[in-house]
Amino acid sequence: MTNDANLSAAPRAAAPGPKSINCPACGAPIPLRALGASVMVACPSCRTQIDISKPEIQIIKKFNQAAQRFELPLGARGALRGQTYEIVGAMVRSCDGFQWREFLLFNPFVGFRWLVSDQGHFSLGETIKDVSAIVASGAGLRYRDCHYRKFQSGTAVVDTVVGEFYWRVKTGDQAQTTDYVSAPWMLSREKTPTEATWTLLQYLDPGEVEQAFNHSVPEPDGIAPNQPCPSSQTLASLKRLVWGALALAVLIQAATVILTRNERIPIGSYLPPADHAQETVYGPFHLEAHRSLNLLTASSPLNNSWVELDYALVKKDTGESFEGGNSFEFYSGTDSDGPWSEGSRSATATLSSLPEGDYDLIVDSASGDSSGNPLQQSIDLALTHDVAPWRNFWFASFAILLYPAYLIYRRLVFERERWSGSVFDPFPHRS
Amino acid sequence: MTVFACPTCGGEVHFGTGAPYSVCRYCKSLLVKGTTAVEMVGRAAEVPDDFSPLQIGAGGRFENRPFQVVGRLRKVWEEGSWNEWCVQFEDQRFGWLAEAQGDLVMTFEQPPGALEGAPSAEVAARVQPGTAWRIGGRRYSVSDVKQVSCQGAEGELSAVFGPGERILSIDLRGDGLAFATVEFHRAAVTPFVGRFVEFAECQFSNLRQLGWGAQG
Repeated sequence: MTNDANLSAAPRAAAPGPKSINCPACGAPIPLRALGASVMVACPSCRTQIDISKPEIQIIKKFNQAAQRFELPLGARGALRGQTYEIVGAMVRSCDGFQWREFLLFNPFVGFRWLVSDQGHFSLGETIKDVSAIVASGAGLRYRDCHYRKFQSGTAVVDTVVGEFYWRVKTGDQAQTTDYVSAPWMLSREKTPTEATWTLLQYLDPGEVEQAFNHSVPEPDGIAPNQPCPSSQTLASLKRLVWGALALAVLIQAATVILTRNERIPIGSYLPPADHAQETVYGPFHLEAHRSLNLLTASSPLNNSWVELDYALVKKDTGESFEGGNSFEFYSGTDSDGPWSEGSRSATATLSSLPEGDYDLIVDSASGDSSGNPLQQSIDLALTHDVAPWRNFWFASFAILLYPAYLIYRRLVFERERWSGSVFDPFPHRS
Repeated sequence: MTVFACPTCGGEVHFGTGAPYSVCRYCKSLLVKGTTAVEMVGRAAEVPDDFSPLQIGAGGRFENRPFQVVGRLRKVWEEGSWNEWCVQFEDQRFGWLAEAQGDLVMTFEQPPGALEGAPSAEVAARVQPGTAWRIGGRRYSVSDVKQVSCQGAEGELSAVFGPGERILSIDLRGDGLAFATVEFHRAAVTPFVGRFVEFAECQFSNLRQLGWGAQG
């Protein structure tokens, strides 16, 4: 093994002091913040572009322009996503007249990153090393279990450069760019005649950038291509809760269905009496369940007639009366279009919250046929005791899904606006 | 530990790692170890200062195997320069930790035959990016073809090329983080294979103090 004493005997200079060169064009001092890693620097005072890759510095392109104002200054240090970076370079780029800014960040331990600033929106970018993991998927791409959709492509031109860069960037440099989006991520491909690079960008809240560099930044405008949708995030955070609540409702309903007796008690035939005032009494029936929901079904093979039935279930010991009713009618015939029929030959009445006990059923009715006479046909009556109620279940499900449905709507509105900025807008728009 | 007197300046030169080359820290003579004496190969330029957190004597780990940084070459090409740190593992094997623009790549020298159907340097110089080569049975795609020379050297080195010499260096990318370099130096073809490594996964120790807060 190596000998520590030997190796540590001659350590290199402890802390490299701030290095700087003087601009060969205007003489202004230019601090170098990524020495050894950068190959060019553009003078912050006159913007002259200087090759610093060799000990003898050389002018790449001479300028004499006033310094451009960037929202973040060169040399500012800040921590983004847990990592401290220094702003070492900045450039303005444009595509079809739209301008944005890209800050080159440097940390000697992790290397370079990008901070892209567009319409007040920020993204932190890192060059992708495992390019082979980017694979075509449908019209888009897959990378690290995320599906990306094509958002925009064009030719990006470098308009202004200040500070240090790790390649010889010059104003006027062009690259073919294609952006793919899966918020909060964006995959950006830049192709020049000599190379293609991929950058993975992550959306940053503007407040994060403001706080990191202790510098106020302008309010964001519109929706950024990779801006996460707030309703989508709320939905994701509610997902477990919503599914849990729905599952609970289903579980309660299933238990109710299993535990209810659902007992069919035949009552008998009912023939509407000629005198409508006359009541028919059936019973007694014993209803075993407490506070039960009961269905009273009436059916008859009637034709061209109607019937209205009123029921009263009278508890024998207390005289309490529980009332309900139903009606149905059925007509049929033949006309020029052939045979027709309408209506129904049965109906169900609901009688809820019946205490346990013995009951009499009192029925009275009104009915008629096409000639106005009372119904001549008997009606079959049956009681289904202790059925499972569904109304609460449907109401609960509706209440649980109401807010998520609203969020889904909000997400749709957000996504439409996001994609309206793309030439690959998947949403149909009226022209 | 073997100590020799530098044939140029008489200063102590250490060959502590078994590496054949060492740079005299006093006069920057690049020395090669013979059986009984050292011979001067050339003179290495001093490595220009940079903001690298690595230094000779730093320790690290690669796939759970500890290594130590023993030397450095500063390589330069027309568009820039980068560090190649010579590292040695506990089994005495050497590796190269390239540090370019903050990216780290660990590679290991392979026998020349590992590159299947190795082209001549003249043919290789014209190879197009995207061309597929097989090294050690694995497929790589050429990403970068450049002429490289050495800007400076320090410490002990398992391999060098002379000051002022230009060699052809071809970088290739494999699946995932796989990386390879093939160097064409005179008649020799030397493949190196390895992969990108993250700074954090190397668990470096004894790093240079850079005034970057918690990281040193």
